[in-house]
Amino acid sequence: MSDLKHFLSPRLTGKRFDDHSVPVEILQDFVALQDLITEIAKNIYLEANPTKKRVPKGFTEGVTLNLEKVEDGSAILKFFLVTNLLASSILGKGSHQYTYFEKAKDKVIEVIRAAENDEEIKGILADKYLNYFNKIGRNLKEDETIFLNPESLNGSAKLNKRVRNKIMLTVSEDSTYKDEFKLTALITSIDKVDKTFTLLIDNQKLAAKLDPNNFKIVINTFTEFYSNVYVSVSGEGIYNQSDKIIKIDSISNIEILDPLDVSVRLNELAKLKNGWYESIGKAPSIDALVMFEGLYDKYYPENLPLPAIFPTIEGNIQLEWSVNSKEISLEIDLNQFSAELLSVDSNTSEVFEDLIDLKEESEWRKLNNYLL
Amino acid sequence: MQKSTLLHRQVHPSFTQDNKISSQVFEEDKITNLHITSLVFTPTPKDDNKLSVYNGDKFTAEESHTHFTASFQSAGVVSVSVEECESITLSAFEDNNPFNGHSVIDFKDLGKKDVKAKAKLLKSFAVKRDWSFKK
Repeated sequence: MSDLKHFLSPRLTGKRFDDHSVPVEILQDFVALQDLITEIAKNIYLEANPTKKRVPKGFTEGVTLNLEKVEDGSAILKFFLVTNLLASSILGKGSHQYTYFEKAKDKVIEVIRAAENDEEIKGILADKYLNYFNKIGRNLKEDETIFLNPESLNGSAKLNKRVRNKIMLTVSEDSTYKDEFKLTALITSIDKVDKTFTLLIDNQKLAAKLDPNNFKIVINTFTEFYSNVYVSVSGEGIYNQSDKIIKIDSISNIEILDPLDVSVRLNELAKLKNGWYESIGKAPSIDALVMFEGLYDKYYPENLPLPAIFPTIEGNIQLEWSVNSKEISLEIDLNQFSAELLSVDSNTSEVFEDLIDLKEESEWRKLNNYLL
Repeated sequence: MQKSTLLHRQVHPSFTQDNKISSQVFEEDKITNLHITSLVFTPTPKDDNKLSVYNGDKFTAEESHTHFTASFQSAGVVSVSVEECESITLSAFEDNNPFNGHSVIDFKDLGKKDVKAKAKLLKSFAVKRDWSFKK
């Protein structure tokens, strides 16, 4: 008969968890966490029982972290430890299996806390255990954090990309770590002999393998190199201590970006410096551009055409569309996130204007009236 | 200048998104997009509501680009005719200041909204003509 005990209630924060759901790939990280805790629990048992050469039969059999439910509050997962041996006498007097798993969990939390505080972590767990962080936290995005024990009185251990990468750097012999990437790039060359191609990413050239899955897109994109066709590439890469990608390990997906891709364009505008236009152009604030991209991703109706985006001399941005005979612009004040819409019909010279508060979702829907 | 005279306007590199082609290029016929902003035709505060252009009777689009880029940045040249300016009640004339052939499209006495609206109409004329010169 199986026993069930509450074990862990991590809270997940970040845009993807706002609607209190959890993407499947994040659960893979928790599978890796389960494997790590199991391995540490076995080690703790053996250290506590030096006369034993192995853990008792059934120590890990049937031990699983079962996800019971996802609760509100960003997303809170509730894991239960399920085992046949929860209070078995074969583990020794005054001891039970759950204790070893609790201690193992505490070790993991200790490592995460130490990494978070830039403290030494090598003395807490051996490298073979720290290497599990290659998979734990790998699927987190930049804005996401797992609070492993949010109810702890000592403050919760926070696992995010920075913490995870710091742990990986600690165990790396060459001060690198592996992580997933999603980048925008140009394809600059193809080597038919080596079956590789070169990606230009932020003025850095990186080689990647040419394979049947990406062959057609790579060839087509390279042919149009002088037209600056950007691709979005995702996969796994090697990063250095400065969190800069230095090698592409594998590519899982590659796709051609729309010429009006908003993220690429905002990234271009973020590189503008004061004086960009005949010494008087003010550069848009990078923080404001990031905030605008967040609002755009969240609220811009998918059925509408992509806008062309331009900087204004005052340090704001202007979105523009040509729809049938209408020239439409949305001049955005990046301080207030208010916008002036102006539509002019080139056939009739009819002018229409409106104000839109971009902080309000309902206001974005006004664009449907003008762009469809 | 004649009614048919083209007035060449330089396009700042940040005022165009034309360098990219649509992904549809790999599916059907090649489709190129000229994306310039109406800001190209909007006078800046220092312009005193007069938009600087090159007189097409004295400069080809390429010559205007060469002349302009000696001091400033330009990704290419788009053009509107004198007649098109007049069709939306904007006057255009040569003032030869600061050089022979320098001309202006005059937005004087117009409010901010009207300036922007007319800039959009000029952009619309220019886009139909496509680039007069592209670097």
